[in-house]
Amino acid sequence: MGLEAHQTEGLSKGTETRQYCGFTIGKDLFAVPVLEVQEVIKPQMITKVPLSKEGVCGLINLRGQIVTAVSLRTLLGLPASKNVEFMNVIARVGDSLVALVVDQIRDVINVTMDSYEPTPDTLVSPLRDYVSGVHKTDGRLLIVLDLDKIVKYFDT
Amino acid sequence: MGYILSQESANSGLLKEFLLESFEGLSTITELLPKLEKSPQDEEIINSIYRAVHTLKGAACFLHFAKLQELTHAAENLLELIKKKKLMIVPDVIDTLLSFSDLVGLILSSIESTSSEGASNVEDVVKRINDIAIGKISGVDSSSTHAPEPAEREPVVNHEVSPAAQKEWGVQGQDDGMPEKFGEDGSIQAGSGDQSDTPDRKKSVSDSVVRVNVNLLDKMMNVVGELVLNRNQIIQFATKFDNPELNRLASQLNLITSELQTDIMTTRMQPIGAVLNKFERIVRDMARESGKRINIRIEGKETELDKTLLEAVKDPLTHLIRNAVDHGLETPDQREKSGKSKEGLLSIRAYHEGGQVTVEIQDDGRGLQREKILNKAIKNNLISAESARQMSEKQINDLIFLPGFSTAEKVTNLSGRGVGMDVVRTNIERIGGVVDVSSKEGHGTTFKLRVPLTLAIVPALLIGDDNEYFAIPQVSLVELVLLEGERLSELESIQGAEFFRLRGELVPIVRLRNILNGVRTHVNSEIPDQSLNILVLNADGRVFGLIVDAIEDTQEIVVKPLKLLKSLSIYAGATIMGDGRVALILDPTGIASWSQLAQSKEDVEVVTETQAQDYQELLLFRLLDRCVYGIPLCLINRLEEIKRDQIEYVGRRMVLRYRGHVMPLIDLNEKFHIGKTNLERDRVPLLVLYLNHHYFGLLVDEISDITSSEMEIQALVKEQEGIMGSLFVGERTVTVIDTFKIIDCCEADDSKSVIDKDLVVKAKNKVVLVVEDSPLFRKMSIDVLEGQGYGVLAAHDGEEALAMLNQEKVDLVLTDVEMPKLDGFGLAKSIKDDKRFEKLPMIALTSRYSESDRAMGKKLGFVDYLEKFKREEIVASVNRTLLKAS
Repeated sequence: MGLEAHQTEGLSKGTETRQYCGFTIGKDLFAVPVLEVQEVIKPQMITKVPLSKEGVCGLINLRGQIVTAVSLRTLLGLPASKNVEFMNVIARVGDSLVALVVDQIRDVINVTMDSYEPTPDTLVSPLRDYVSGVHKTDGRLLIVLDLDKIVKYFDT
Repeated sequence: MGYILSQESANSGLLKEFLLESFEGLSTITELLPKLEKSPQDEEIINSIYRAVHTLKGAACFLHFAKLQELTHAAENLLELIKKKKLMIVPDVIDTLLSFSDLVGLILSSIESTSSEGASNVEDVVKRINDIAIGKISGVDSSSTHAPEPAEREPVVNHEVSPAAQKEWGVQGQDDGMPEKFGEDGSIQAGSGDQSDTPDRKKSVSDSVVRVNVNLLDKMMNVVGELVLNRNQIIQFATKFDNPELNRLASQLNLITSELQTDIMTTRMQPIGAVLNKFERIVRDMARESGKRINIRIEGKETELDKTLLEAVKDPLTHLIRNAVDHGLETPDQREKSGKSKEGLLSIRAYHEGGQVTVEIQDDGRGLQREKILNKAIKNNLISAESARQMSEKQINDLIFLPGFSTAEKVTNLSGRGVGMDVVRTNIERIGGVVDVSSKEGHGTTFKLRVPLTLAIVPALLIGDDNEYFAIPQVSLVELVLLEGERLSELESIQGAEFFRLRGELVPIVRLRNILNGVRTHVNSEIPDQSLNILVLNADGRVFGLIVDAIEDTQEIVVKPLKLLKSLSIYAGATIMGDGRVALILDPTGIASWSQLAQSKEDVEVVTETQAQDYQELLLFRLLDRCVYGIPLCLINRLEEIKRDQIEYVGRRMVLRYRGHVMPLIDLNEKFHIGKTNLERDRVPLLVLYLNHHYFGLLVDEISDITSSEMEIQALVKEQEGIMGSLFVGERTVTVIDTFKIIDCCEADDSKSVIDKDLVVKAKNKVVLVVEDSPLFRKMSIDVLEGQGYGVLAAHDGEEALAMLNQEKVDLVLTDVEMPKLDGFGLAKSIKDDKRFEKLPMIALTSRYSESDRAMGKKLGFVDYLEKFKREEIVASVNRTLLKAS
C-alpha cells in the first residue's frame, strides 16, 4: 500500500506542469512562477534610493504604484550589464510589488515536475541564497528563483 | 405647538448624531464581547468596551433617554468591576452583557423609528447586571481562581429579551457578508468593508448623502494618479506633433484631470462645524443641570479636515467640553466670590495653522488646581511623593492625561470616572496629533488640539539635492534659514561636527548630501559654500538643522509607504510628483537618529534624573605641547578664528575688538609656559568666553573635539595655577583648565580683583559646606570660596553633607540640586526638619535652571537658587547671605 501510494504520488508529481516566466541573466536561464508575475515592462525612469542595500536600483512609478526595482545581476554577484535594453519583470510578493531587472526576457516555459531537482550542491552563494530549485530542461538548466528570499534580503 | 415643532427640528440633527454614534458604539461592543470571552485578560478590549458604554451613557444622559441611561449605568458599573479585576469574566458575564447590547440595539431602533425608547422592559436586564455585579450569580472572583462549574454555564436569564432582539436587531450586528443595500428612498450604500456602520439605519438617517467607503476613495485617488501620468505623457507626445486639434484635446484633458484630482482630494474634507455644532446644545443642557451659567462661543466652524480625522477628534473634543463645563467652570456663586462675572465663558476656536488644524477649548473657570492634581496623582500611585516635588508646572498639568486619573471628587452623572483625559490623548496621538494644556489657577484652562489636515495627503517642502527631489513633511519643519556672505561664518565646525546658533540655542547641523553619501560627519569640501539653506527641523523634540542644496516648493503630496525598503529609517515613504517621477519623503526623526544626534532635551533630563550625575560637555583643544586640554562647553560663548592683523595691543596685552567690546586675549600657551602661539598662521583658533559681563578670548593651538563625560577628575597632576586636574575621556587624558583662575589673573592685572579685601577679614571664621557630586564644580566652588577667605568643607552628596553637619559647625550650605543618594531638595528638607539647623542658610546651585525648580527651591527654604557656572552671582549671594547672618 505504501508503495502504491508512493507511486501515485510520483505519477501525479511527474505529470503536473508548471508555468514559468523565463529570463536570462548573463548566460544563465532563470525563472519565476508565472502566477507571481504581474507584467513585464521596459526600462522606466528610476529614482535612486541613497543608503539602500546593494542591488536596489531604485523606485519606479508603475501607474501610481511605487515599485522597488532590484538588480538581479548585482544580487547574484555578476558584473553590471552593458546592455541598456534590460527589462523589468514586475512580480507580486505578498502585498507589495517588486521589479526584477533582468537582461533579456524569454517565453513562458512549461515544465513538468519530474524535471525538478532541489538546488544542486554545486551552486554557491550568493546565487544559492535566492534559488528554490532547478528544472532540467532540454540542453539547459532552468533556475527557479525564490522571491520571498529576495524580498527578505531587502527587508532586513 | 410651534415651540414643540421648532424644538423638535433643532433636536433632529442631534438625534441623528446620537443614533449614528450610538449604533457605532454598539457595534463595537457586540464585536468585542465574543473576543473578550476568548481572551478575558486583554485589557485593551475591556477598556474599549468600557469606553463605548461610557460614551453611550453620556449621550443617553444628554438626550434624557431614561431607560438607556439606566441600562448603560448598570453595565458601566459591571465593567468597572471587570476592569478592576474584581470580577472574573465567565460566560455568564458575557451573556449578560450580550443581552444588554441586544436590548440597547432594540431601544436605539425604537428611538430611530419613533423618537422614543419604546416599551422595552429594561428592569430584568438591569437586575441581572446588578446581580452579577454584587456577586449573586457566578462570576465574582471569590479569592480563588477556579473555573465555573459546567452546570453554571447554562445561563441566560434574559431569554425573554434576546430572541426578540435577535429578530429585530441581532442580524445587524454582523458586519461581514451584508449585501449592499438600496435604501427605500433610493439612496445607495456603496461598499461593505471597513466602516463598522450598521447598514440598516442608513436608509433613515442619511437621505441625501451617498456613503462611500474610504477604501474606495483611496482607490480613486490612485486611479487619478495614473490618469495624471497618462495625461503628462499625452501632453509630451502632443508637443512632438504640431497638430492644433491634438494640442487642444491634450490641454482639455489636462484641465479635466487637474479638476478631478482636486475634487477627489476634497471629497474627504469636511467642515469641523458638523462636530462643533452639537456642543452648543450639550453645553446648554449640562449648564442647566449643574446650575451653572455658561456662554459658549464657537469660531471657525468652516475649517475643513479629513473625514477620518474628523471622526477621530469628535470624542476627544466632547470629553474636553464636558470636562470644561463640569470641572472647569464654577457655579455663579463661586464665580462671584472670586470676582468674576456670573456667566462663565467657554470658547471653542478652530483654525488652520501651518498645515494643521488647531482646535482650542478655553474656559475662564477655576483652572487646574496643581496641589490637588499632585495629591491625587500621589494617592493613585501614579507618581511618587519624591518625584512630585521636582515636577514643573507643565509636568503637573500633564498628569491629568495619565490613565486612571480623574480630578472630580465625586463621580457625577455627566463626566467620567477617569476615562476622560487619557482617552483624549491616546485618540489624538493615534492620528498624529498633539494635545496640550495650559492653565492659570483661578483664571481658566486652555486645551489645544493640533491634528494634521489629512493622513493621506500631507503638505511637504520639496527640496533638491543633486538633481534629485526629496520631500520633507511640513509638520516637522520649524523654519528656514538662509546663510549668505558674511553670515556663512555663523556655521561653526568642530571636528567635522557642525553647529549653528539659532537665537542663542546651539543647533546641530547635518548635511543632506553627506547623509545620502553615507557620511556621518562633515568633511570640509574644497569648494567653500556660497550660500547655505538650512531647514530647522523638529523631530520628536530634537531640533536640528539640515543643509540642503536647493529649496524648491511646497506641495501637497500623497504619502505611499516604502514596503520593501521600510528598514531604511531615514525615509518616511515615497510620493509621486506631478511629472510622474518618484520622490522620497525624508523622515526627520530617522535622519536625527541616523546622524546620531544628541537625544532630545527631555531624554537627557530623564538620564540626569535617574542617574543623578553630571554629564558635562567638554570642548577639547590642543596647545603647542600637543597635549589635549579641556574646558567646560557651557562656559564657551563662541568659537572664532582670527587673523594676525585683527589683534591689537594695549600695553603688552593682546586685545581684539569684538562685538563692540574690547576683548582681552589670553594666550594659553604663554600662560602655561609652553611657548607662544604662532600668530603668523592664516587663522588662529580662539575660544570666546563670556563671564562676569565681559568677553575673554583664549588663544589655543587647535580646537579638536567636543566630548561628553561624567567628569571624574582622576587626580591633580600637580599644583599648577590655572589647571584644575585631569580626567580620562576614552583613551585620552585631558587636562581640564581652570577658566576662572586664568581669567582672574587677567583681571588682576587690571587691578580689578574680585576678592573684596574687607570681606576677607569678616569671612575668616565662616565655614561654608559645599555639597556637589561633580568633582569639577566641587573644585570650582571650593576654589572660589577659599579665594574669598571662607573656610570650606566639601561633601559628595546629601547624605554625606548631613553627616558632616552633625560633626562640624557650618555657617552656610551651598548645594547642588541633582545628586545621587540624597539630592539637594531632599537635603534641604532634612536640614529644615532639624531644629538645630533652623537658622542655617542654604543656597542651591543647578545646571538645569527652571522657574518651577526655583519656586520649589524657595519653598524648601533656599535663600537663593543659582546657576552653577555663574560664579559672580554665587560669590555675591554667599557674601550677602553670610553678612546678613552675622
